Amino acid sequence: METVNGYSISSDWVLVANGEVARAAKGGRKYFIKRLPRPKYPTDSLPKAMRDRCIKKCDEFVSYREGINRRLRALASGCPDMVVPRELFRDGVCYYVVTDLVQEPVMSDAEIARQDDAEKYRLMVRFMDFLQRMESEGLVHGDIKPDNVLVVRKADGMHPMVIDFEDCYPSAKPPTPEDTVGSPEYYSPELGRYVCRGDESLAPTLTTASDVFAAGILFYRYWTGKALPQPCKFCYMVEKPSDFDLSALPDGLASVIRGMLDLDYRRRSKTSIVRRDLENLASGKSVGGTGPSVTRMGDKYLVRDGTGKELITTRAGAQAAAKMLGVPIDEGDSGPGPEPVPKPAPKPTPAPEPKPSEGPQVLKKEGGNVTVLCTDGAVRTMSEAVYEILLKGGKLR
Amino acid sequence: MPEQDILDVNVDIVLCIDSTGSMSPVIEMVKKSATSFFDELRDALAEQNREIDHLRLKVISFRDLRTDPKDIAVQESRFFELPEENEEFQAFVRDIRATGGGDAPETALDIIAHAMRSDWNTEGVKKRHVIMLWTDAPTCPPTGGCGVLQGLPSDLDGIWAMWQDEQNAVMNQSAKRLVLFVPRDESWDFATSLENCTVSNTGLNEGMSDIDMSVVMTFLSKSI
Repeated sequence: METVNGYSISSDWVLVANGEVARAAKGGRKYFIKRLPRPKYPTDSLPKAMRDRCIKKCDEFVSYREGINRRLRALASGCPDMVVPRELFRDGVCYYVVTDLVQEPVMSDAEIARQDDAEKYRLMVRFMDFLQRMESEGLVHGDIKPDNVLVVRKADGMHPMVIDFEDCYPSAKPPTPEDTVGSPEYYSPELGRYVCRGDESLAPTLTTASDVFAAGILFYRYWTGKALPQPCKFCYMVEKPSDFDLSALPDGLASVIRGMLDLDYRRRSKTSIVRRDLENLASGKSVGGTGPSVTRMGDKYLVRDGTGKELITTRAGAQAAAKMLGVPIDEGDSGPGPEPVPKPAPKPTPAPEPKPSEGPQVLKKEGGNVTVLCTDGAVRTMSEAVYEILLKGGKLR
Repeated sequence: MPEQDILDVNVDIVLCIDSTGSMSPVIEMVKKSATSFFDELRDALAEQNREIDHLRLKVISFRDLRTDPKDIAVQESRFFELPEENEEFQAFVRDIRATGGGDAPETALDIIAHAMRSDWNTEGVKKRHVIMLWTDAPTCPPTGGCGVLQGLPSDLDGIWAMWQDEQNAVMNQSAKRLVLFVPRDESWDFATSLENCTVSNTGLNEGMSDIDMSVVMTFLSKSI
């Protein structure tokens, strides 16, 4: 029997898109082992200069991947749904990654879709638990798709076993566009732009929000058993969110998924909001909008008043609005600053920017007084009569 | 969506076929499948939710560079655009005859090096440059081309450098793929040291009689 670094290989090696895989056993436990197609460690016979270059490349690869794997293992210690690399090692010229073997039968799309609504919501909540963990550690899975989320049944319901972390990267620090993998069907708009333009200056836009977009597509599948109807070749190419046909979903879930599929990564629903809403849906409550929030978007802030109104403002305005609305400011990912301007783009990025409000936003009406968030970020309280006069006279902006 | 944000997948494949006498089963298989090559590959990719926007195919028919006459030792086509140039592709493949060849081992590594120098498509967002080689013989170390092909490495290190050394590689490092249908023989162990290289021994120790195109397409589609 073939043995690799103490692992007994118990099946044939099977070619997959990014290597060869087999089942293995060691110390009475079963594992899944993958032989990576690259890098390859140099043989002794190579000339020194070439060999040194190759060893350097291999060492960098191992150091980078092990750094991420350590963070993943720490995250997975409290999350059995994460099937993260246990070991990365070299045997001869080849590198191998070992993970635990998912032993439960994997459920099909149709099986998942047939489950009770509450069960499906709980499955999605569990997936959001995973994404929240990743977000807390600033890590992007990078290849969320059905093949990499094995849904299995356990005693307490369906669980999403997330596998294949080989493309995982730190938020806002993806691999080069050429080396970026993933399935275009699950690309977020920012990932699509990054890969298609080959523009590394867009790297800061690739944050944990990219996984949220892919999860939105995945959740549609869980609910319906079918792929999300795509109005164009791939979802990332959609020009406006309303192009997504979510009519097969109940209103509450459609609202949640629409937030996950926001084309602008800075406006996309946060994992905590999605999780909360799904939990509400699981327990039969409704979700009414996303509630008030103040979120950093590069060097500006997006204020949502919880009733569907929103505006872009400065930091001072955001602080005032947050105080008024009683919510903390979500500074978001540390990675992205202002969205970089693509180098060769003849036109600005197609993702719709939130339009700055053209006038003041009423934050509160109470006891005959009106509290207004002005477009310069200032918050003013005045009587309704004064408000009307100023507004009509164009003196309140 | 601006045109620059459309993800197009361009695939170039160089089929390197050992055309010595014993290889007639593979040559017959390639001839038979030439008419449907594009469709079969498209179907195999579709099973994995993948598709190609632009496919080009080139054929290198080779024999033993050391023993066969120069004019038949290497015969190669240009890249054919498929499906548009299917007829030209079929016509080239029809003319390949299984003949010649000396005693094993043969000079397949020279052919791999030669294939690396193909005029690969540099356009497109996603590129795959695939060299696919069939032989039923062990390989000898690189010969430098035996005067039939010029400027090729004359040792294994040279092949390795052409394939993956940062300063000497001749192919796009993200796009390159090497798929080998070769016999189980230690002369081919070298291939395991090459990045993005898949080796299959399917059928090759049984005179290649049990090779069929679906196996080839599976390997090809998973390598793309």
